[in-house]
Amino acid sequence: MDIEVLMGELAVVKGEGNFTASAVGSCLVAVLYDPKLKIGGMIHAMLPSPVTRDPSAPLRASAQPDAKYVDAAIDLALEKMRSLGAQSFDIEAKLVGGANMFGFSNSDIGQENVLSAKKKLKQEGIKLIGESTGGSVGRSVEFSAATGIVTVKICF
Amino acid sequence: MIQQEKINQINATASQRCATALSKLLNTKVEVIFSQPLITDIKKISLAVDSQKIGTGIYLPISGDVSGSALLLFSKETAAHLCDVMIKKEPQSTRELSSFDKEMLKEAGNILLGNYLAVLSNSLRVEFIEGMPKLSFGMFGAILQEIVTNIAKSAEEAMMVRLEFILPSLRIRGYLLLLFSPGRIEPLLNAL
Repeated sequence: MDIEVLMGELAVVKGEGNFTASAVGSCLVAVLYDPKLKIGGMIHAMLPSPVTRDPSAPLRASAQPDAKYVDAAIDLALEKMRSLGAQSFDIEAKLVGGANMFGFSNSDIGQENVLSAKKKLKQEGIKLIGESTGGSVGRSVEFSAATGIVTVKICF
Repeated sequence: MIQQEKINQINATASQRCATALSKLLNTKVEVIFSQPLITDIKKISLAVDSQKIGTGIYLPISGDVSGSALLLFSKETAAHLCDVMIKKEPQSTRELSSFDKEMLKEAGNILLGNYLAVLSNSLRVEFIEGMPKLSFGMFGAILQEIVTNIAKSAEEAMMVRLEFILPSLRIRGYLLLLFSPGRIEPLLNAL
């Protein structure tokens, strides 16, 4: 089963499943994997957290967790993985993305996304075992839930 | 409906003027394909371009009565080709972009965007101020993502204008994307 995870989306499977997220810039892709049960998940979030919203913008009426945000997306993915039997102490995480494509000096959403993910993973007791983040390069990510292998292609 | 027709009409005129400007700059015929301005889910915007294609992105912030972002995307080959033509170098002589080449590409972005916004500004009597252009290299999707995430901080949707330029004789193809947050285009809509 091939699963393309677009911006603001997440997916979780048990067993066979090949995830892809292409052309990742400032967004953050987190791959979550329970190697014992072969339960895998991928999030492709755009912003660190809802609290980073522009304060002048009206808040949405719905308070539902939104996979657009790194912390909410990790929460949602972990919830789905746990419902399939995964245990927090078995889950490993890898992070990809968080670039600053234009080298903006006054705003680095990519770096904020990476920090938000690390903070959330620490809170949830999830081991971070690898990352390919930052810089000013785009990345494409592939992840096999059958093997746990994550492949990152960096394009200059 | 009248409002939508007027937006489409202005977009057609502005697109044509962009094509003419590019045509003069490169001294060759330019075809332009423009889409109707579209208000779309911010998460779907990256689908508007060939996201895995490698190329150059020129970003210009827009401020004034209406704020937004403009992004010009050219493939790697097209950027090199444009430099050959604009600087009147031997064909296919640009391999790596020099600082001067990058400045020329930013200037091309300025010219195209300036022409588009001039039509919009004159038609609607709305003031736009173009910011300093910034240049990036990489996958189209990754370049576009940086602009989209900035809009996503305050909006779930964006108004997108997409123009595609084709220069048949030079095999040049590129995109100009204009993105506005719906909450920030009231002066524009009021002017219609």
